[in-house]
Amino acid sequence: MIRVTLRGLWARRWRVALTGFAAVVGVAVVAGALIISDTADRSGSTEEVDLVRTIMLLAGGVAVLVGTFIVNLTMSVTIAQRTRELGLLRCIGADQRQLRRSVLLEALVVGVLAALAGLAAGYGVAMALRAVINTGFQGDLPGDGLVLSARTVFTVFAVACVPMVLSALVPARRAGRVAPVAALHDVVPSVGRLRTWRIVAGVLTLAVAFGTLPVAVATRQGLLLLPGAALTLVGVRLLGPLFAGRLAEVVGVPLRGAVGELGRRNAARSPDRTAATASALMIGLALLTLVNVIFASIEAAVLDDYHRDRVDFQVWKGGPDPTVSRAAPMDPRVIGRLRGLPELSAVVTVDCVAADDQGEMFCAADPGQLARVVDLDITQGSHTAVSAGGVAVSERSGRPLGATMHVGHADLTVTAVYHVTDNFNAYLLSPADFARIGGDPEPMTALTQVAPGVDKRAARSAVVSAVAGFPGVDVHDRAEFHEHDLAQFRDASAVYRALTGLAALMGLFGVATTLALSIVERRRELGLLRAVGMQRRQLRSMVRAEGVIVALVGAALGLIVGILFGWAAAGVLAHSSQPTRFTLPIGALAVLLPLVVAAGLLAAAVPARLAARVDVLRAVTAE
Amino acid sequence: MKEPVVAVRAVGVSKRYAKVTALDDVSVAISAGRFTAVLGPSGSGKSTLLHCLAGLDTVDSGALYIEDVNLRSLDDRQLTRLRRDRVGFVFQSFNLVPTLTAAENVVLPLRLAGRTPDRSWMERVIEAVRLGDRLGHRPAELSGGQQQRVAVARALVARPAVVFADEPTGNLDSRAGADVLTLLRRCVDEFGQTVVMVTHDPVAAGYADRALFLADGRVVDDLPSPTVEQVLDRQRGPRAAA
Repeated sequence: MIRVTLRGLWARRWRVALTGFAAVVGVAVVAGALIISDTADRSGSTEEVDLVRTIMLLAGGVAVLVGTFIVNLTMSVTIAQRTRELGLLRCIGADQRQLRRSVLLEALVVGVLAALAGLAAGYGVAMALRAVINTGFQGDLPGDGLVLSARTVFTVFAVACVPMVLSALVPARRAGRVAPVAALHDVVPSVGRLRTWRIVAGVLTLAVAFGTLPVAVATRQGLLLLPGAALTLVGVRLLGPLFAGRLAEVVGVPLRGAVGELGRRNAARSPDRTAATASALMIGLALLTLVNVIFASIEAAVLDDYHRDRVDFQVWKGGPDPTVSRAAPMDPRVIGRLRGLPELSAVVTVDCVAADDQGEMFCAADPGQLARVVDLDITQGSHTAVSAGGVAVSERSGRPLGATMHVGHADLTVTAVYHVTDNFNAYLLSPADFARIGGDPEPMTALTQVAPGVDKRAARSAVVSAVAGFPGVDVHDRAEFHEHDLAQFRDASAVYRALTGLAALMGLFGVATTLALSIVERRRELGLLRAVGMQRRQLRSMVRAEGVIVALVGAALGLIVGILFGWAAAGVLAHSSQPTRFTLPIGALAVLLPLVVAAGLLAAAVPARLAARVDVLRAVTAE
Repeated sequence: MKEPVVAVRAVGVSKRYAKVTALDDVSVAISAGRFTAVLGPSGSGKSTLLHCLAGLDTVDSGALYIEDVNLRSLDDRQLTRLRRDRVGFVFQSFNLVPTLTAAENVVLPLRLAGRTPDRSWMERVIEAVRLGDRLGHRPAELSGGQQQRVAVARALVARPAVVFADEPTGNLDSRAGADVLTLLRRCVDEFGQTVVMVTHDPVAAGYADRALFLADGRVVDDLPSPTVEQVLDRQRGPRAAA
C-alpha cells in the first residue's frame, strides 16, 4: 500500500506541489522568525528583534491557518476526483482502513516535504529579516551564521505536519467510504445535502462566536476575541455550503449574457467547494478589514484629541519628544517673557510631578486658564471646582466624583472627571496644592496660544527669540508634532496592512488552486462548450467570472466578520490607554471592492488559460 | 435528374497519427436534406472523418467544405463560429452542460452568439423533441433518452447546415434509441435538415437514406436506402459482398 501511495503521489506531483506550496508559505515565515530570534539570542541583541519576531510569528500563524484550509480543500477535491481509482483499489482488495491510511500517509509525506522546503525558504526569510532589522531598526545582527537550532527544526516539522495530517482526516474518511462499485460508474461529484447536525452545530458555533463579542467589550477582555474568531471560522466552515451557493448567485447578478451566467452557475454549483475556498479568502479579508477598522478607530480618536488641543506652541526644557514626564524645571523668567509677548493670547503653565507610588502624573494648572487652550471635555463636575483640595481625574482613572485620595501631604477630593485624551490623562490639581504633593515650584511647561489675527510664523519667531537666552528651552509647534505623530501611526498601520495582505494573498492562491482543480474536473464540459461554439475568449471570461464571484463571496464574508470583530476590538481598546472611537473606514473598505475583483481576475488567470487550452476533441471523445 | 445540393464535402482527405493512417484519401459529398450514416468497424476512421468534417479535428491534406466554406482556411475563432452557427452536434454521451436547464442548453449556441432565439422555430423544435414538460429540468434529472433529445433540439436550434451525430444511441436502451433515431429522421423529413450520423449499429443505419462504409481509413462502400439486412451483410464481410 505504501508503494501504491508513493506512486500515486508521484503521478499527481503537480497537484501535490500546489498543496504543499499552500503549507510552505506559513512554515517558511515561522521558520524565518525562529531562526532570526535564535540568531539574536546568540548575539545578544534580542531587543530589536522582539517586535519583529512577534509580528512574524503572528503572520506565520495566520498563513499556516489559511494554508491548512487550502490543503483541506485541495485534498477533498482530489479525493472526490479519485473516486473511481479508489473504487478500483477497493475492488482488487484494499480495505477501508488501507485507503484511509494511504491518504493520511500521503498527507504526512507532503507535510515532511513542506517542512523541508519551509526550512530552506525560512533561511531566506531570515536573511531578509536580518537585513530589515539591521537597516530599519538599527539592529546589530552578525552578517554570517544564522542559527538553526534543534528547537526550530522540531517546531517547523510540527507546524508543517500536524495541520497537514489534521486537514487530511476528513478526506481520508471519505476515501475509506468509497464503495467498490464506484470503479464501474462515472461518478459525478455529488452535491451532498447538509446534515442536520452540521447545521445545528454551525448555528450554535456562530451564535457562541458572535456572543463573545459583546461579552469581550463589556468585560474589557480583548483575549476573548481570539476564541471568538476561531469559532467564527469553524461556524462559517460548517454553514458555508448552506449560503455560499446563494451568495454566489447574488454576488454574480451583475454578470450578464450566457458566458457570465455560466460563470455564476459554476461558482454556485458546488456550494461546499465555494464555501471552503471563500472561507480561506475570508480569513485574510477579515484580518485586513479588522486592521483597517482598528486603525481608523484609533485615528478618529487621535484626531478628536488634536481637535481638543488648541495649543499652538509648547515651551519647555525636555528634549524633542513632548512627554510631560520628561520635562525639567525652567527659569521662571521664561514665563514672564512669554506673557509679555503681544503675539500670544494665552500662556498657561502646567507643572507635573510623579507623586504617588504608582508613578501617576499629577499636574498643576490654573483650571480656568487651562480650559482656554485644552478642551478637557469635563463629563462630571466642572473645572472651576478644581480649587485647593480638589482634583480632576481622567475617566480612565476609575475614580468617581467625590472620591478622596491622599497624595504626599495633601488630601484631595475628586471634583471633576474629564474625558481622556492621548496627550493628557494626568491628575489635575490646583497650583495651591502642588507644593504639598512634592512638586517643584519652578515652571515646567508653558502652553501658549497665538492671538487672533497674528501670523503663526511671526508669532513663532517672537517666541523663539523670547526664550533665546535660556539654554535647553525648546519651542514645539503642536500642529507639527501631531502631524509627525500621525505619520508614525500611519507607517505602523501600513506594516500591519501589508502583513494581513499576506493572508489575503494566500487566500487568493487558494481560489486559483480550486479553480484549476475544477477546470481539470470539468474538462469534458469545457470541450463540449467549445464544440457547440464557445470561443476561447468566452471560455476564459467564464472562468474569470467564476474567480471574481468566489473572491467576492470570500470578501463579503471577510468584510462582515472583520467589521464585527473590529467593532468589538475598538470597544475593548476604548477602555485601554489607547483612545479609540469605533469608525468604519468606508473609503478604505470601498477600495477593497475593485481590489477584490482584480484579485479574482488574477487568481483566475492561470485556470482560464488552462480552460482555453482544453482539447475539444479529447474532451468530447473521452469514452 | 437535378444534381442534389451538397452540404458537406471532403476531397482527397488524409490524416495520419504517429504510425496509423486514420483517413486515406477520402472523398465524400454529403447531400443536403438527407440522412447519411457512416459505418465501419472500430479503428476504421469513421469517427475521425466525422470530427474532421465538423471542424473539430484537422487533416493533413485534402480539402473540407461545409456549404462552400473551406474549413482548412479558417482559424480557431472562425472555426468556432462556424460550429456555433452552421453545425449542430449530438455526441454519444455528456452532451449537456450540467449547470444549465434543458431549455438553457437548447438555446446555448444562440446565446453564445448573442442572438435571441426565433420563437416560432423554438416552439416547433421543442414540439418535435417532445420535451415540453421537462424544459426546466437539469440534465441530471433527465433520462438518457431525454438528454439525447435535448441535444438534438440544441443541434437544430440554430438551423445549421448540418447536424453531426456521433453514436447518438450508443448509451441508450433500444426503445430510447429508437426514439432518438425517429427524431433525427423527422428532422430530415420535416425540417429538411442535413444529418450525418456515425454508428456501428445496423438498426440505426436502417433509418438513414444512405450508408457509407469505412475500413482502414477508406470509403469501401456506399449504399443508397440501406436496410438493416443489407448493412448486416456488409458488416459480416464487406469485401466479399462488394
